[in-house]
Order: sequence, then structure tokens, then C-alpha cells
Amino acid sequence: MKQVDEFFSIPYLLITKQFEILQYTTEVEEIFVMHHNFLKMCDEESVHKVIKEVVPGKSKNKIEINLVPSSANHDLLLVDLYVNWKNDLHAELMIIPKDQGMLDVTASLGQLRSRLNTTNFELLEEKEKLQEAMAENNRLSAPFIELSSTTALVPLFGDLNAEKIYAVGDELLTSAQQSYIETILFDLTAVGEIEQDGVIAFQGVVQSLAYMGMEIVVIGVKPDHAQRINDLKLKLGLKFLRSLQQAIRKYCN
Amino acid sequence: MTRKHYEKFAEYLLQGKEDEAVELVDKLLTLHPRLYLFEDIITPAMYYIGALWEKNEISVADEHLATAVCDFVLSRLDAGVYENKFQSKKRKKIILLGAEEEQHYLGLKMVAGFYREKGWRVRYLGPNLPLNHALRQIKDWQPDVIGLSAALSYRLPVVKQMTEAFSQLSWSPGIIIGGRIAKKYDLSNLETGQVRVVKGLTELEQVHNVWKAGVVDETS
Repeated sequence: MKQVDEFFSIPYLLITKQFEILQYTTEVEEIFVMHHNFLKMCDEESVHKVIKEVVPGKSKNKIEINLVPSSANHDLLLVDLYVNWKNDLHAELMIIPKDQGMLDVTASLGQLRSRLNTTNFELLEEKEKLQEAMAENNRLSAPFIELSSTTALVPLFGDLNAEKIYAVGDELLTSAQQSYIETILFDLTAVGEIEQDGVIAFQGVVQSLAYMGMEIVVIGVKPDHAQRINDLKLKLGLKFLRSLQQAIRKYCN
Repeated sequence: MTRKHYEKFAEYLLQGKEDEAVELVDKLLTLHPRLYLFEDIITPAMYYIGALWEKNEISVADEHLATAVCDFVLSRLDAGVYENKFQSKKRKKIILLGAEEEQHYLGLKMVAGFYREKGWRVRYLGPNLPLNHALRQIKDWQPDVIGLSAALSYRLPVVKQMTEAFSQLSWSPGIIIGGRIAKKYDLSNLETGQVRVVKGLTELEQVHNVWKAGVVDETS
């Protein structure tokens, strides 16, 4: 192959149909890693494209490919390749590296994406911490207090929702099973809102306790709770008492 | 039918029509599981877009747009997974990262979605992660499994180096190597009892089932 000077100062090559390089300008050498065969200068993912697109059948063509640059900064350089077949055997190739502006935009998009990801990541960590705190809070909002050998008190705190009931349900059942408790007093005095799914979950736990032979007494029911509980139409023989005081008098002597 | 779907999806991505893409995905999700969506729609659509570039029909800029829209669709899909469905305290942990210099990340993101749906705790660190940075995060969080992804052959040495480094961690986490690199090249020489090369989400599902039956539990 021959190095030529009488051409524009851009990377220019003259190749054969077999991609052998016959002539090239200095610029080619400056920007890319030189080879006798043009295909060897291409990124392996671009070779196939070059073989299919740089053919005499397409006498003038423009394609986008990646070439291996001589600088070690990038592994690949995206370029526009202009192809012009002089005849069936020889083609002129002109290589115009992509506008730096576009590459810059691509790079900064990448940076923005990774910043978003980091933020997302930090949010996720905080979210998990919060979830753990909430779960812990839920677990602690239904302590099992043994008032006497046969009676236990379970004061419920905060809003009654399914999540909370699920969190305390298992422990409640285990505690009830491990003791000789016959009566469980559920105190709703400190309960705020009762949610629909909370009532349903609560029903499940109460039902399980009833199967285990417990007598369930609900105390401290507020007017709006009463309506919610009424919606349940429970047929489990739940007992209701107005206050904890009454309940203690009745069950703990 | 499938062919039509992924080509349609690719078309939306290339045109930057994120609403239409999301709509199509939502419609498909009512009929198919998430895995189908990842394996038979999104992945083929992205490969199809790569093929269009090779046929000189689209430019790299078009590919970037399609990637960004696809990213959006995947993020939105993720938002639909409610983690608190999984109450168990001992949830498995996986950390996902792309090899250093690697810019392809959509597959990794799909794997993140895959594991989230399984109820795992997922740390998606994104692509192009230097080894020392990755190691710090991993040692901090002590995941049960590390997922490493790469697309281009240039990453082979880095993938090997990272795999070796991860293999030396004291609590012996499971290591999964995936991405296009696993499909295109034979990486079986990297495989050990601890390291698995996975060629797609369907295969990952199988590995996951095997690990569920024993290996991960033994090491955790």
C-alpha cells in the first residue's frame, strides 16, 4: 500500500474488493490502528456490517461503524464511512469521525443516568430502613400481657390495618398456645382508624384463637369502630365490654 | 404473533413513543407473565434494533433513544412490584453490576426486576463499575448472590478478573455471569460450584430453582 498526500486532510483509503488497503492518508494512521486489511481496523461488531454494506453493488453508500482508535482513551470510535466504488474492484473510503458534540451528549446522558441510579439507590436504602422500622413498630403494637393465670390482655395501638395484624398475628397465636390462657381481652382504646382490610385480618386472628378454645373479649370499642365491627357479622360469640376496668373485675379475681 | 409484538415494541422505542410502549407492555402483562415480557418482547426488540443498525437502517443515535425509552418502560415495570408483599424477615439479597467500561445495562435491569418479583432484596449498581468500588459495596452489604453482566468481548478479561475477586469473598456468595457475552462466547471455563454462567432469564429461573433447593442456603 502507498501513503498519499495529494488528498484532503481527512482519513481516506483506497481498498480492493477484498478490503486490502492500497492507499491511505496520514490522518488514517494518526487516528486509527493501521492494518493491511480494512476489516482488521473495524470493531468486531462492525465487521459484518462492512462486509454486507461495502460491496460494488452499492456504488455509493454511507454507513455508521465503530473503528479501533490508536488512542487508548476509548476502546472504540464511532465514525461515518462514505463509500464510493471507482469500479468493480476498487473503492474509495472516507472516514468522518462523529461530531464530538454528539459523543459529549451521550457521555453526559450516561452520567445523568448513573446519578439518577445513585439517588434511586439511596432512596431505596432509606425506604428499606423505614419498612424495617414500620415492621418493628407493628410487632410492638400488640403486646401480650398475662393478667392472671387464665386471662391475658392485648392492648392494640395505632391504626388497625392488615399489615399490622399480620405482623402481630403469629406471635399472638404462639403466646396464647404456650400459656394456660382461657380469655383474651383485646383492648381497642388506643386504636385510631380501623381499615377494612384490618377488620378482615383481625377476624382471621380472632377465628384462629377461637379454634384454640379461647374466649375473646373486645373492650374499649368506639362508635366508629362499632360500625366497622358490625360489618363483619361475626358469628364467633365475641364478647364486648365497655372498659378494661369492667373486664378486669369480671375475669381477674 | 410474538414476532409482531416485539417489532411493534421496537418501533415504539425507536420513535420515542414511551406512552404507546408502556400501553403495549401493560396489555401484554394481563395475558403473560413478566418473564415472557423480558425474554420474548423486550430482549428480542433490543436485538432487533441492533440488527437494524447492522443493516444500516438506523443510527447509533436512534439506538440511544430506544435504550432510554426502554429504560423508562423497565423502571415503570419495577414500580409495579410491591415489595411488602413479602413479609419474611430473611429475604435473600442480590447485588447486580455491569463490568467496568461496559455501557449496556438493560439486561441487568431486567434481572433486577426478575429478582424483585421473587421477593429478593435487590441492589442494582448499574453498568461500568470499577472493581474496587464494587467490592466495597459488596463487602458492606454481604449479598447471597452477585450478578455480573457484560456485552462486548473487550470485557472478557475484566469479567474474569472480577469473577476471581468475588470468588475470594469470605462468605462465598453465589456468582452469576450473564449478558450478551454469555450468549456469544463460551465462558464455561469460568464456571465452578460457586460461579454460574447464565444465557438468559429462562436459564436463570432454572439456576434459581436449583439454588433454592440447596446451594445458596448452604452458603448463607
